[in-house]
Amino acid sequence: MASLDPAADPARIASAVLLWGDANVLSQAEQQALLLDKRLWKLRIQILAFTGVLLVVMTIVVSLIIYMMTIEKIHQIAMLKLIGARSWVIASMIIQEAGAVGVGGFGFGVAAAHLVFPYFPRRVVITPGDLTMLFLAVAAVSTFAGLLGIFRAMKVRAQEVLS
Amino acid sequence: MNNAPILSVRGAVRHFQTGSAIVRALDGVCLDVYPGELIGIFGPSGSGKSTLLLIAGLLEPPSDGAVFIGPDLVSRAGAELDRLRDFRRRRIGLVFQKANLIPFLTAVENVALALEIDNVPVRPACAYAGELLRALGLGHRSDNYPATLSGGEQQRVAIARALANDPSLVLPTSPPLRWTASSAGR
Repeated sequence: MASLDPAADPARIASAVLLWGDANVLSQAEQQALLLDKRLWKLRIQILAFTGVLLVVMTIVVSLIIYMMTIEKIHQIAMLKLIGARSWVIASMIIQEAGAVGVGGFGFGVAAAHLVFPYFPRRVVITPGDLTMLFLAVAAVSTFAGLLGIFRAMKVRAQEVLS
Repeated sequence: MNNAPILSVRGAVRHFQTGSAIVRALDGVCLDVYPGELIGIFGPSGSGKSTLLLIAGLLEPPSDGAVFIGPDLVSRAGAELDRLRDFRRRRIGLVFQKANLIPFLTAVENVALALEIDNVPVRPACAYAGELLRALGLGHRSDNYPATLSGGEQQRVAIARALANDPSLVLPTSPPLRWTASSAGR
């Protein structure tokens, strides 16, 4: 650690020290970056990868749930088409169902986190920003799952009721 | 009898390709149904009754020919199924051999559904559905789920659903076997 006289020119001193060859000059911000950011980078990548895997698994699970719920109601969807329900009416029902699954899951997850996190060995802080991001991710996953259900529902023919 | 038919099928043709053979389910069928008229179509199995019903009920377009509801040409070869669905919702009530009620909705909700899909708000839809069920002698069963209704009661709920949009034409796929003398009267 070196303290400079207020009258000294930091850039000139840094270039002079760098000429020594076996020394480096780091500002306070660069020292912090070296000590914290680079150390944390690997950890961040691990958390990001873990989050990505969780998101993919969540998308598959929610999509399968919505798809299976749609398959279970194929007869009712055909019936709705038979009595003349427009495609968007059926689509909005599936989106509502996917939304209910998403919002319900999000609410359950947040409540469970508040109950369980105090028992974690390390303090876990969820900021409103984190919750917003999580909600947006859940909304995106639910929308994707809903679209998958709609895709299946649109293939149903009204005549299937008669078979 | 009114001179203008409510349903008019003109030269309906429906051919199906099965392998190298062509099955001629309908070959130029013409049919007129007038307001207030009750028509039964009889025939041996495979004679094309169901195909005619699918075409008259706007569930399928004909390969050739045309279907008129009142003065409007609503279906012909290549007709768009979504557009046919709009006509079906407003102009045709379909009743099936099986009641095909939605099991997780009550009787009144099943009937109201036919109105709700046509943008009628829930409250007036349920009120009108309740009136229809009362007219068919099912007022006391309005809040029951289909599983708790008898076969005949389920069939009457299905009839109420078919009548909910005040269709100009009601097409039952087969004689409603479970109708009692009193319910048939209603």
